[in-house]
Amino acid sequence: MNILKKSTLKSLWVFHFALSPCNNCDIEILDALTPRYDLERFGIQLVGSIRHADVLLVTGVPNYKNYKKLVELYEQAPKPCFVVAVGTCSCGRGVFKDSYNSPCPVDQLVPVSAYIPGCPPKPEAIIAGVVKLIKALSK
Amino acid sequence: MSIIYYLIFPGFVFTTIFSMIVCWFDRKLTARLQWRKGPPLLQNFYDLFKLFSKEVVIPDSANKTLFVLPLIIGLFSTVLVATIEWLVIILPQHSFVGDVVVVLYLFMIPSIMFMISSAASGNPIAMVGVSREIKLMLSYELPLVCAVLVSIIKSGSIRFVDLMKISAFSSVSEIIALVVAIICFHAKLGLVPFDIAEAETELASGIFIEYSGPLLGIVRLTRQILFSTAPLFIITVFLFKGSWWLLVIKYILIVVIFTLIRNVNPRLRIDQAIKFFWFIVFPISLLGIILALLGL
Repeated sequence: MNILKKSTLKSLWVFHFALSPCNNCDIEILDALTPRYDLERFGIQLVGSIRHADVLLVTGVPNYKNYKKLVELYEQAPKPCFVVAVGTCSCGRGVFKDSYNSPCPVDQLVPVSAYIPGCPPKPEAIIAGVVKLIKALSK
Repeated sequence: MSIIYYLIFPGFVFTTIFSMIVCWFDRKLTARLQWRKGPPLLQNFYDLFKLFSKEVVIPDSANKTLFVLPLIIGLFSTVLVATIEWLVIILPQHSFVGDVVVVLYLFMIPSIMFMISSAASGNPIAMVGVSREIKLMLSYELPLVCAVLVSIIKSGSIRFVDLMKISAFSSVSEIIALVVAIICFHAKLGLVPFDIAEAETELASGIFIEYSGPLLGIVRLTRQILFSTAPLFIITVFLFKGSWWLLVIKYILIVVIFTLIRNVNPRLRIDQAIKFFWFIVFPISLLGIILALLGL
């Protein structure tokens, strides 16, 4: 593994984008970033701007008001940028599958690298998902 | 010879590695204060390599020359500050008349360059950050110059070698000036109570919002080198007297003070910061000058 790839995997900066979720997943994501779970020891940081991000964390179901925003945000991110879908809603729309206001799931809008199901997933599950993403990318 | 000084030994290569280690110490101490494990030693190197391997996104609304060029000028001037500081400490015969003034000017250049560059990005949030940075700079520069003036009055010279002969603990005015200088440098480095222009949760990184990939890498490198050079400046102006191992302890103590202040304070509003500097810190630094002129 060359040094550039290794440093990418050792310092994933996360931008958190909420696609109108019920906020449970967002609370669990914030939990995962607290000192108790300490994601900084893997080099993971929450950043405020999509231009700084390597990982785009998506929670919630796309609806007609915001699905174009997700595509726009993904296009603004400097590549390589990995999308991680957190929660059942963003993995496969869950109970909103046949909803009148949801056009399509997240993975039809942008390429998703990892799915973390759960309603909401525990912080441990989110960390396990990120570790799986890192393992898959290092191959 | 001066090219080697600038690019390799006390200059670019050495300062980069040194500042990475100092910033790792800062992050690790922060982590321990929050009862967590903290990043590995090479974390800052990983961050930098990653940023330099990423894509650059320059917004359509940006003036491209003004967006990119100031960052490079800022990095060069920061490296120049670090080179002058290290040369003065290691080889004191390289000190020249007026080098204190030169270093004070060069310390201002990175902030000015960040302002020009992010004002050229055309992002409204970046503009808010720029206006805050200008106000912050107007508030902290004057007390800082007054604090350095105390040392200049005490030693009667504007060369680092003469300033290095005096000690902060010899007089009241020097102690006042030391405290003022530490607070002003805290604001200059943009650390937490004064990270008003950056304000990650409020302005989404403010003046740094539009930088991506290598440009963000240059910004981070500049700020890290500033962080590792500011304690050197404080030591050479106020605290140099003593043996070399005492210098190392002083350096570590100043970094620890910076880290502690940034970990126990919440972010100030811009008006609170200006009031703090103009009506509390600046009168104190004036008092320091008066005491120094009276010989105390």
